Amino acid sequence: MQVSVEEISSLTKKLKVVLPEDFVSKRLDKAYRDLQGEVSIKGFRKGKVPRKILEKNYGPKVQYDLSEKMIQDTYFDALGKSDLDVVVHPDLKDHKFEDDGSFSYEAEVDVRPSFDISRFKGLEIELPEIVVSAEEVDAELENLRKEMAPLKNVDDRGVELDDLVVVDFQGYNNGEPMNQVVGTDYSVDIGSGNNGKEFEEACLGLHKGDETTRKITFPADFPNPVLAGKEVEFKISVKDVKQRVLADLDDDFAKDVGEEFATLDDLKKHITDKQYKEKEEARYGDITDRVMLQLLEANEFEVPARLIQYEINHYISEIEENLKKRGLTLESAGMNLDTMTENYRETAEKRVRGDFILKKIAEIENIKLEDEDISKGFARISEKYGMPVAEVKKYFQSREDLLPFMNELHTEKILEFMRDQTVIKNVVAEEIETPDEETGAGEEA
Amino acid sequence: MNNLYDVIKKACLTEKGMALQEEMNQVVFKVDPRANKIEIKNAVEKMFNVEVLKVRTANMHGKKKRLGRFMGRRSDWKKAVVTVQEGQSISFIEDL
Repeated sequence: MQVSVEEISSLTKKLKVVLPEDFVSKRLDKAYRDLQGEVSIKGFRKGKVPRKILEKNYGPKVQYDLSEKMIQDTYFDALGKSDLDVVVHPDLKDHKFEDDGSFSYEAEVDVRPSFDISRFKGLEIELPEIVVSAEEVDAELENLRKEMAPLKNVDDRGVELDDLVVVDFQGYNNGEPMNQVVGTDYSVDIGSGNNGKEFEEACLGLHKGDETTRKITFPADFPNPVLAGKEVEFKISVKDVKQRVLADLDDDFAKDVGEEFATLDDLKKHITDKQYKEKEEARYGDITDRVMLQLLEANEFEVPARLIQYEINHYISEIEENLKKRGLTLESAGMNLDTMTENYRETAEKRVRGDFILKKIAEIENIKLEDEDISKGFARISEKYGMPVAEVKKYFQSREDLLPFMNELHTEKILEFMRDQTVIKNVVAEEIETPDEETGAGEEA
Repeated sequence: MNNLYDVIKKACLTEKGMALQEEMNQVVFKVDPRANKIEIKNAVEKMFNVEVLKVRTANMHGKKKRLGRFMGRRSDWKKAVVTVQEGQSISFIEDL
C-alpha cells in the first residue's frame, strides 16, 4: 500500500492511497465468487455463471461495493502509515480502479491543531455574590398563596383579574367551525397569560351564563400551526366564575403548605434556601462560561474548518428536529439556512476550539474518564428520567451512542477540575454584565 | 432476408454454449428458421469479421407449456453452431 500526503492547508491534508494490483485482484476474485453463488441468469445453472457474464451484468455494482469495503478496510492502516493526527471523518473522493489493476483513492482529512496552552490554573473571575432578596421571597410566597387558595363560586359579579373561569369555546375561521379549536369545561386563569392575553381579556366582565364572541388574529409565526396566521372568531360561553380566596400569610398558612413548617419564618427560610440553591446552580454555569471565555481569549489558534462545519450542521439539525416536533420546517419558521450558518459560525468555532483546549488540559493534568464516572453518569440519567440503571445501560449499549455520552462526561470532569482551579472573587451584584451566550465546550466530532 | 440481423437473431448465452466456445472455438446462435447454412456463414463472417469453417444447424421444437387449462407452445426456432477459424474469436459479451 502506497500512502502519500499532500498539503492543502496547514490543517487540511490530502491523503492519497494506492492499493497494489495483487491485493485488489484477490478481493475482486472473491467478490465475484461470492456473487456467483447468489445470482441466477437464464441459460446457466446457479453457481455456473462465467465471470465474464457477471462482469458484464454486475461489474459496476461489484466495483462500487468493493471500493467502499476496501476503503473502510485500509483507511485506518493508511492513516497509521501517514503519521497524521486526524480529527474528523475523511472526505473521500476520486476512488477508482486503475487500468493496471490497482485501486486508488484520496481522502481529505483535517489534522489536530498543535498548540501550547497558556496559563489555565488560577484564573480569576468576578461574579456577583449570591443574594436572595426579601422581595424574591415575598413573590414566591405570593405564588404559593395563589396556588393554595381555595376557589369560591361567584355569581353576583363579572369576571375580574385573578379569577378562574370555566368556559366552553369554539373557534370559527371564515364562518366555518374549526374542529381542532374547541373546548368544554375549559379553565382559564385570567391574568396568567397562559391562554393568550386577548382570550383572557375577552372573558373580563362576563357573568356566569354570559356568552361573547371575539375575533383574534394570530401572527404568522404563532407556535400552533392550526392557528398561525389566521383570524379566528371565538365563541365563548362562561359556565362558572371562581374567585380565589387568598389565605393570610401567617403560621397557619405555613402549616398548610407543609407540615414541616411550624411557623411562617420556617417557610420563608425554606424558600430562601431553595432560591439560594437555584442561584448557586445557575452560578455554576456562569463560572463555566467565564472560564471558557478566558481560555478562549488566551488561546487563539486555527481549528479545522470541517469540524466547525460539522458543529454547525449538528446545531442546525437540532433546530430542525425541534421545529419538526412543532410541525414546522426551517422554511415555514422563516429561517434561512445560509444566514443561520453564518450566524452560528463564530459560536461553533469557539465550541470546537474550547473542546480542543479542554482536551489539552485533560492531557496535561491527566484527567481521565474512569469507570466510576460512567456509572455516576448512568445513575444521574436514571434518576432524571426515573429509569432503572440497567435500562439506561441498555440504551447506551451501542458504541455510537456511548461515545458521545462518554465525551460529555469527560468534558464535565475537566470543567469541574477547571472550576476548582479558578479563583472566584465575589463582587456586589449588578456591577458586571452577564457573559455572552453559551461558549462552553461542545462535543467533539 | 437482406439484413444480417434478420438471419442471426441472437447469441445463445448458455452453459453449454460457453463450454463449446472455450473447447472447440464454436459459437452458438439462435437464427431464423428459414436461413440455410450458407446464409448463416455469410452473416456471421460479415457481422463479426471472422472466418467461419463450419456451420451446423438444428431445428428446435418449441416447448409445450400449459397455461391453466390451455395447452400452448413456444415457437420453434433454429439453432446454429458455428465453428470459427482457430485464432479468431467472437466475444458477444462486448459485441452484442
